[in-house]
Amino acid sequence: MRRRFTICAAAALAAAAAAGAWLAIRPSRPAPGPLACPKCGVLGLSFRVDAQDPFTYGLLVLVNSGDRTAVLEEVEPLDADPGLRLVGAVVVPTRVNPWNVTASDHHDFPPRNVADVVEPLRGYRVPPARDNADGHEVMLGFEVPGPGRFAFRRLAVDYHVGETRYRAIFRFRLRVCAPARQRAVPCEPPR
Amino acid sequence: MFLFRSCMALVAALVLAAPALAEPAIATGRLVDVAGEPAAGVPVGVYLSRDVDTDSDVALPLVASGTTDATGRFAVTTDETPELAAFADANGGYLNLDVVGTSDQGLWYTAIVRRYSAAPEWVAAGGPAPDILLAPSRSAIVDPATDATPSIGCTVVKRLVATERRRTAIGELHNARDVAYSKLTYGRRADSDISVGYSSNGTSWSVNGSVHVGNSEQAAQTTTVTADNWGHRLLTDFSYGKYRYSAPCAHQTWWKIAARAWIPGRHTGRDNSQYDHHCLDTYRAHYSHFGPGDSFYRAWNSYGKFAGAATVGFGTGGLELSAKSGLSQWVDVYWKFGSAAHHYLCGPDDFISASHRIFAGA
Repeated sequence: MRRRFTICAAAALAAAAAAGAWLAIRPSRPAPGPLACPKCGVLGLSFRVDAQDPFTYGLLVLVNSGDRTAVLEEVEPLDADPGLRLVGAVVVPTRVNPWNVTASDHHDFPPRNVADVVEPLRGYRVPPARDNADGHEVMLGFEVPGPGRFAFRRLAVDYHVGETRYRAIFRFRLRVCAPARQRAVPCEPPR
Repeated sequence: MFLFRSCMALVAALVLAAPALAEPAIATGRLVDVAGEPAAGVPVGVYLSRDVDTDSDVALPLVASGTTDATGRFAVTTDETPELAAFADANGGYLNLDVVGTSDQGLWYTAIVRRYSAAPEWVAAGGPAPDILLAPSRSAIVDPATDATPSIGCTVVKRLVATERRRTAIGELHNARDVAYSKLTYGRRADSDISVGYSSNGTSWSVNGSVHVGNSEQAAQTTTVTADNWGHRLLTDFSYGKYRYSAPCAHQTWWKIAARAWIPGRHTGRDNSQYDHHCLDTYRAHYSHFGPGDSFYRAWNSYGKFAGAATVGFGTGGLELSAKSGLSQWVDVYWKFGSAAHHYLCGPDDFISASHRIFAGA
């Protein structure tokens, strides 16, 4: 009888150990953290550009909902078409941008009217927001190699707060069409 | 033998308890009496508010039930079942539910909308499910011939009394200058949350909860506006129903007015253009600048709730219901700008990625 109880207890212990091991080794994904925007919708933008002429995408505005400063590391376009090359990433507080948020600049990166006030994205510090207008616009510079249509469908923002690393995903989509003069071909934002 | 049996009982209890522990709450909240004090021991049932199209009583399926504790709190839990999934699938992913509390002290009622997310978790149309506050609508009407015997699982029946077709606001479009066109796409599934009229006596009405109107038709309607300096509500028709509810076990009867179905059709509503051309002053904190020829859309987020979106009759004297549509996978707004260098869109309460409305123009 004691042997059966021992077997039962051992089985329970083994099950508990297996569960603990699974919890310990399961793949962990960085949390979205305080720069995430759960209330943000899906945004789509499209415009025409010329090949090998850097342009700006700027609809990504970060608002820090936490109580500690977030430090940006990298922004990665996801589900991007081959040829769409990220050539730079800068940040500017929306209160400093003369246009508040510059959705697009078809011919410059960074846009000329903020060129003197933008800061590199890597290491940029996003303080806790004073209100929901306290945004920090991420301006991404891209280039395309030749004629065609080029898109990304999500943006991932990697950052840390203290020792904790986060990754916030934004369902923001872009399509650019080159060359700019070819207006007969539709240039619709990705769905 | 005793130790072994105890061990096996523990294992069995854990196995049996695991699914219950995992069941997410479909409705939580607090139930109070006429004095606003917690009412303990009141059975609360959550019923699938399936539509009925006959003039005969139809019993509503009981989804799950619970009982209020000493503080009046209740938590009704259930996992998604194939039946619930099928109903949700036919309604844009959302379940319309009736929450009913019955006791010898009165009736508690509200209409709620829930969607099952992968978490697993039941969420409301706009995000996390809020706590429900259930207040009694009246003292019980008890048939003296028989005692009321409210209990968990009390049958609730629903009967369609009358129908109406009413124009209802589903969105708005705002154009400033030099807009090639803007458009609001509604469908392929209808996607609106419309408030519900409630009456405990069939004569005095109030708004109590909401229903989600969706369907599985693969047809979308798009309203396209090419005019500059144009801002209006956009309307479509919905079929509304007046229903008589009863809970025979507690001798309770009440009435509900709710949207039943979307009737495709495009109509222009009231002029809202007074909000436009203020992106650089009133809404300066949340505006965005767009370049020549830019195309922009936003989808998949709770958009604004329109007060007075529809006015229903049914002998109510004109009951105003509010409505909130998308923006969702099925509802989006889109702008195609002209060749001018500067175009502006702004949100009154947030950046245009998250604002409840989007206005246009400097």
